[in-house]
Amino acid sequence: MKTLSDIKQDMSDLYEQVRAGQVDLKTAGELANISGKFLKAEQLQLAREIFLNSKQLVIENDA
Amino acid sequence: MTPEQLERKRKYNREYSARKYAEVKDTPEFKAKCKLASQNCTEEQRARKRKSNRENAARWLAKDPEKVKAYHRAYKRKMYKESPEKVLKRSSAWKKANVARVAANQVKWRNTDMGYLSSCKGNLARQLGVAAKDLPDELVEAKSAQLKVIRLIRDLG
Repeated sequence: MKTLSDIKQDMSDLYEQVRAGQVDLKTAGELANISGKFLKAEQLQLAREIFLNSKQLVIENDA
Repeated sequence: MTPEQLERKRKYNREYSARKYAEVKDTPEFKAKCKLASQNCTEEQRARKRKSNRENAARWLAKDPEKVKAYHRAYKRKMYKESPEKVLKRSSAWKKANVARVAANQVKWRNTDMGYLSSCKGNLARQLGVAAKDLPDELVEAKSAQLKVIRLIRDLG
């Protein structure tokens, strides 16, 4: 699994390569989409953490 | 007088006047003198002064635009720190008076890298239902880099 900094670095490299015309646009689009999936997974993980934290807070408040 | 001597003299004069000004600028006598001078000057003199100031500013801007921009940014920060209400009031008045320029500046800002990053941050915060400041910077930066690539592909293709 890639980390966020890996994705950022990959995307920066891909941007430069696309600008220089070294990568096919279709391939670059696919790569960008795949990194979007990774990012979505990270987002979901963050959302889960936020949800669990807020749930704990509610339980603590009720108690 | 040789050019070196002239330059040295100018430098000394500049330093001397800056030192003197720093000494007296906050004294009530100096302030009263300035006020009197501004009251006594004619409309023509004021216009001449304004013109000279404008020309001077334009000259500096042409000479070193980055320096002028940095100076303005620092001045704005300083003013905001000293009296935020005054700055906000002036800013909102300016915005009301220059609606078209505000819209144009907004469009310009949105098209910059920082603008894209900020908008990306706002969207992520809205999706996750948290404050923008609570979002991890890494996530925002990675998402922004990905969107940048997608935008480039869209522009090229």
